[in-house]
Amino acid sequence: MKKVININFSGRLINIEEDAYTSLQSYIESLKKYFSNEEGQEEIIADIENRIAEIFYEKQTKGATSITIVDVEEVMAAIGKPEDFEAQEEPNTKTDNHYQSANKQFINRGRLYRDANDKMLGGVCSGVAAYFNIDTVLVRVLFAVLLFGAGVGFLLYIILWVVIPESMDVQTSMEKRLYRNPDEKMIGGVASGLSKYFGIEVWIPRLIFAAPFIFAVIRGASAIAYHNFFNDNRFWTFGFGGTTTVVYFLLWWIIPEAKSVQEKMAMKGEKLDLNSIRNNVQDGIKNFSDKANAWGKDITNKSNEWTKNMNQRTQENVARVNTIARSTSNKIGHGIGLLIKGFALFIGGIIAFALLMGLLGILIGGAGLWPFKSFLLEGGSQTTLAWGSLLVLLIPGVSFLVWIGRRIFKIKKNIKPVKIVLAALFFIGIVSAIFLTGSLLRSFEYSNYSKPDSEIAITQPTDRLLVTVKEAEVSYSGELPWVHLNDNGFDINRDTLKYANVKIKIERSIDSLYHTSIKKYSRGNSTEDAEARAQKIVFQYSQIGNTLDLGSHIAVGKNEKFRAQEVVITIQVPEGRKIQFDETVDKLHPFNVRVNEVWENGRRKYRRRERVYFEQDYNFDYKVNEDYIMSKDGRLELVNKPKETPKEDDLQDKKEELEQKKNELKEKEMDLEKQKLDKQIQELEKQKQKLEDKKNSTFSSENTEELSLKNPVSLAYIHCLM
Amino acid sequence: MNLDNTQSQMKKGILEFCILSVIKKGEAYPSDIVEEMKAANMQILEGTLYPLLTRLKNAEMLSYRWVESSGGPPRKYFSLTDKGEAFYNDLVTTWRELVEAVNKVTNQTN
Repeated sequence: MKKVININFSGRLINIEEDAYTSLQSYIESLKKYFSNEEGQEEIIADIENRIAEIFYEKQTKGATSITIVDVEEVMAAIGKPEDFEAQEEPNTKTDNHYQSANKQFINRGRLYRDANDKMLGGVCSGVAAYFNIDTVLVRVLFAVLLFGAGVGFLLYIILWVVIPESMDVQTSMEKRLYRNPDEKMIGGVASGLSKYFGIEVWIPRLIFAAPFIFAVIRGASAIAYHNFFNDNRFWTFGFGGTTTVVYFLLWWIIPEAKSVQEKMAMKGEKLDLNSIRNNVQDGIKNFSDKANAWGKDITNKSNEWTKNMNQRTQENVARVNTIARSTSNKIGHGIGLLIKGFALFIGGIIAFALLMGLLGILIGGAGLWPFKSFLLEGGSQTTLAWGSLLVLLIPGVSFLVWIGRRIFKIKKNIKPVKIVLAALFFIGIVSAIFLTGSLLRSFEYSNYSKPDSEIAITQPTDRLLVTVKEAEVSYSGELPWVHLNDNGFDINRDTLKYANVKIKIERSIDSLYHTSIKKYSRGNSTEDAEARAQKIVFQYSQIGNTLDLGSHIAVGKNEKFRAQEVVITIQVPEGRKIQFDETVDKLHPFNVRVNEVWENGRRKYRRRERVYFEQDYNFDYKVNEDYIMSKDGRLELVNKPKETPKEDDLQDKKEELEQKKNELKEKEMDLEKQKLDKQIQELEKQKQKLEDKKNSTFSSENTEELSLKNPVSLAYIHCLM
Repeated sequence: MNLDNTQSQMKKGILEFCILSVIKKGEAYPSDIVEEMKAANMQILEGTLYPLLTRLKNAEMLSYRWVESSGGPPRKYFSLTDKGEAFYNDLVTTWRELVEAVNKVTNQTN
């Protein structure tokens, strides 16, 4: 019993027995391999495929129901096998430079190249895989994990892309390949495929992927039994769980599914892959026909085994659909691949540009910070390491310029020595940076926080204590012309670093007296070192009468180095007594170097989750020029509670309200005036009447005139109203 | 040093010449070329022929056109270009000189 499948071969539909098909595929693969160095290899292969298709088609029209292994062998005999070509032509003897050496691919073994024949982006992964003789998919997975996991995968890829030369002659001799196994799958067949690849039991990868969920269950159960037992192992349950899930889906996406019999066998590492045909030729195996027969039988046996193991129908469907759809889906797949590639290149370009800009930024920033090194670095080793660390910033820039230059001027000359030197320098830079960071961390490791306060003797103020900072505010003097700083509260010159890290802390006094104490803090590589540095902090203060005058900054000498020195002034105010901060207190700019850490016995102790802000009570948010009074619970309270300042909206409302009232009043006023005038009119009319009455009797008109003169406005009004 | 090797070495150089000769007679389909050469007892594998044709085509010695066939896929028919013609004529001259030279040399040794 032999299975017959339909294939679309060079545009013809061919019925072919499965073993014949496998043999044919291998044969064409061997030809592809053989001609891989030939100019126009695709054309040659296409021509040969066309010819084979023609022969098969002829056979079918002559009545053959399907193509058998014998037919395939016939074709192979007519067209010839790679070793037969070898006998007929010796490519190396060709004088025409169009003719390339087909043997070239064996010359360059053992060197790392990017594989131009099998690439998604730059062929880095396939090249690396070929070099280490492992599966390309595995390398791609690794890079993908690095990319999504830490983001370094991308950088690494770009660097390798630039550094590794490209070659068409990369030879892959992997027989075992990583595939997803569709036959023994729970979700995507990833675990099963992995187990086949590594030759381990399938439950091992499954357990690894499932582990976080199992842990989650255990944790849930143990949370009841042992309260919070797994509390600190969140890594296993959440972090790790998320990671394995992401990795699983990533693998699902990257690893191809083993669809054909060939792929399934390659997945298991069974030696069906005839890609190594050239190697066999090289090894002097001449009898290709016998070999092919043996393989054919082998394949038949294997596929019988397979059919036993799997659902026949699914298999058939998969095979048929796969083989028929292969050419079309490959085209579509290729199109999608190109799209994704284009998109990836676009994104890559953007990221590369951003990286370059970032690098430039760091470079400029780093150069700007350089003058501070003498205040930061102590001893020859730290300075040397700092110089070394500069390489981390310089080398990528230089490499990028070299790369761009080579691209622009199309320089093909081998610059491997230069690359090696650059890589070595970069490595030195990274190592230096790591050591420098470690060294600096050690320099900041200890503090003298446990040191007791040193009280300043003050005369008790009569009314209230006024805190002022009369000293001029420290600001950058510009002695180092390449440093540009606009912020106040900071100054640097060659000998001294000044900054306004002075904190004021208010406490309730234990007795009825004001107390003031000063603490000088520093870091160091030991408590003693920190204390010694703290002692050398220069800070001025004085007290005259009711006024406590603080210096505007602390000064650190070049030899003391910057070790996050600070000064804390603690003022203890008795209950019910007053204190006022002058506006000059704004000259102080306290800052904190510490975050997310706690201190124990003067040594820093890191905690991962708890965020302890050590000096939260130093937060100075008092109003200036206002009297504060010490309350019973140790807090300062304002003596004069601020009046509520009206808001703009309120004012507007009030204005409108008043305007409306004004209008109303105006109307009322007019009414009133009218009434008044009416009254006057009536009066006048009465008088007129009277006068007329009198005129009628004895009086002259003189009086009338007098009246009109006396009240002209009223008359005018009368006129108007009438 | 084996005979097969030497024989194939001898044949190799003249393969292109033969192929060009066949095509010179008129447009030719690769399997026709194989048939014609076989008929003349000159063995060539199609797998050897196709790359040779492609190389010659890429070197602008040959051009081809697609011809629909009754059954099966369309076929490539090859013909000589002007450059190919000149190349062929050079080869003819070379061949004649070579034959003459070889004859002379072999006759002397006999």
